[in-house]
Amino acid sequence: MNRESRVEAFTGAYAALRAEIDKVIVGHDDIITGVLTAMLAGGHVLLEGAPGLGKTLLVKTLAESMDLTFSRIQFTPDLMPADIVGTNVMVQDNEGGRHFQFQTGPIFANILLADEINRATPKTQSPLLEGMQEKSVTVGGHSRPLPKPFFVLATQNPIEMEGTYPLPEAQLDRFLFKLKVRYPQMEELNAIIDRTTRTDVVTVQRVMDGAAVLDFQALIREVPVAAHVRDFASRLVMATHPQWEGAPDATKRFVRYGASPRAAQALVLGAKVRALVQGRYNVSTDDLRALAAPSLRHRILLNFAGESEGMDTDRVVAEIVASVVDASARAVEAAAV
Amino acid sequence: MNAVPPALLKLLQGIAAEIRVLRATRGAWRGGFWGAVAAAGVLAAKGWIGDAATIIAIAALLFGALIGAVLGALRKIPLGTAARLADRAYALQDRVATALESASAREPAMLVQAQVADALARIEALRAGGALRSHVLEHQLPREASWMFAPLLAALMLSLSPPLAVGTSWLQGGQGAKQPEERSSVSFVERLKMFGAGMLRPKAAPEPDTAQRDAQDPPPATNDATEFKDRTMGKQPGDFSSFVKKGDDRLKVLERADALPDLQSDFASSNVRSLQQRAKELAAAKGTNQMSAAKLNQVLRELERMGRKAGDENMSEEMRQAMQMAEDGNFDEAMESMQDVPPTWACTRRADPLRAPATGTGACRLPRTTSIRRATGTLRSWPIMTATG
Repeated sequence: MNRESRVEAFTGAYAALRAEIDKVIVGHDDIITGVLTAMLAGGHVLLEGAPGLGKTLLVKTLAESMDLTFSRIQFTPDLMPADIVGTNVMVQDNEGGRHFQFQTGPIFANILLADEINRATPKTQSPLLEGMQEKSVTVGGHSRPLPKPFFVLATQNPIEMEGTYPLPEAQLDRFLFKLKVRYPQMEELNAIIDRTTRTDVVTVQRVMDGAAVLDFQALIREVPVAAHVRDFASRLVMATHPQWEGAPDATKRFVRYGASPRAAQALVLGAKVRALVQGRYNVSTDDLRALAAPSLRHRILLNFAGESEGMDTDRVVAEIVASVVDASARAVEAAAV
Repeated sequence: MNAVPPALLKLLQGIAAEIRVLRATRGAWRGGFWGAVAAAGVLAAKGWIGDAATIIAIAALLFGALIGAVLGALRKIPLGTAARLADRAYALQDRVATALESASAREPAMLVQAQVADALARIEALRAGGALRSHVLEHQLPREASWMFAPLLAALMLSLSPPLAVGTSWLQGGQGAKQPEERSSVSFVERLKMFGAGMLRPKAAPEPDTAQRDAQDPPPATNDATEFKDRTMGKQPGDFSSFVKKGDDRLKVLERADALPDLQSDFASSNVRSLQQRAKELAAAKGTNQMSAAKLNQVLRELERMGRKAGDENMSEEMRQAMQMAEDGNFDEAMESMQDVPPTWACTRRADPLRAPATGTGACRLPRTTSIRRATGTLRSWPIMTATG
């Protein structure tokens, strides 16, 4: 299959997958786009939203529309690490011999839904961290690779914080995107009512398998990025650091820690997916601007001033994007004249 | 792929040409600005340079603009910058810049050819649709252009104004440093002489009350030149330059005072002339019967009032006696007194305007003397005078 055919296959598969999800999910276009982008980029997604907004349904629909294994973990305070990664159990073979056999946990799936991930203790969250980053888990001194592709979709409820264990920055950093699920609009709510209160049963077709996902992930990494676009991504990330001289005023006032280099990787990888989805063979600064908020919002830690003034990381990111865009435009004009 | 596709190169060269023109324009403005500054400097120094200053200034202006334009046009234009401008101008979402980089890459990625082809297709579509504009960059004048008027205006004013005075501070101790002092000294003395010997008092012998006034140091309430002179001359410092400066300042005040019209003198002289004219008219009448007694009485009364007002008791008394003569019918004697008084009084007034008329003033010649017999029997002589100066 040549390059053009692969690109056409990618765009076709993406459109088909999107259509299957749209059969079930009403609205949430940006959430669906973000989830698919992260999956094709090989990253994980943290979905944050109030209960009942369709987060779990989205993930289940995604799993149903792809020929991939799917498992779900409902995180609770008494959940143990072995409940996630599995454990060694004593088994007896046909000859009567006994030996330990590893019983895989729910993490061994292509698509993992970690529902209400912030309700489990950090001890329980830690094996998930390893799996997300290393694509493998260590059980009984043995490292066991996770199936490919491996995609974690975690949800958390931002309003019921009592009895929860907020994810540490290190764990948040391992999510490619953090997507905020908003409440549906009036028309969307009507459509949800119509779809879910009738006898019609919506069936979702499997339009993509694991091999196709891996192939697309490889294809996406071939999308070229111009030097000035790469610089734009770096500037976006650097501008989240208050120590950087080019940081905007909002960063210097309200940010304690900025984004890690993973943010730049997330930006560029996501931008590559977005470019290819839009039929482009190159990354544009527009792609980076569109993905700045989901890539950076969970990687910025506000300081006391930011918290006390009710500053949102999305506002900080918006100011960062505006300042970097302006600086970039001025730079090209200055180079011209 | 190491060669830039011709279509892409053509697009970028067109944009580079536009950038070159823009840079030349901006360079011309910048160079013109600094050339104008240099021209203003040249015109400020036209006292030394001479008539060639204007030509040099114009040449500096044109040379600056030319050099700026040439340097601006010769600056290297990176194709990457042109590509980014093309992307921005035609909303190509960084296709051209990426294609340029990808085409120049040694080991292009798999999607590079597709990307370059995509960029070229977009460019051709724009060209076919006539969407390729002639300007991809907004033409903005440099900051110097908005300030161009300042050096040009300065140069214009300097070209129209006389050459600036040559400073002498750097000639201190040399021969040239003495010239202004000498010139000022001569001018000072000459001006003092012109002002009048009566106003000039030697510094070595100040009046007794001068020192007293200096001690009290009252501020001058009016433009009294004498007062000012006494105050300044009495406080001469030892430095000759400051003395000359103070002298020049004093002369400026005195010249200002001299320039003011002497309204009192004009009024008095015109009044005297009027009375003189009327006396002549009366004297021209043939015989006393042709002369109006009322008019003679009116003129005599006027002369008496004038003398009284000026503090000249002699004249006032003389006119009262003449009026008595006229009432008694002695018109000839009254007429004679009337004819003698105005010229005499005018002459004495011209000789010393600050003093009341007095007899025996040396400045008035006495061609003849007319005896007036007074009613009391005493005689008094009134000169018929002609003003000499």
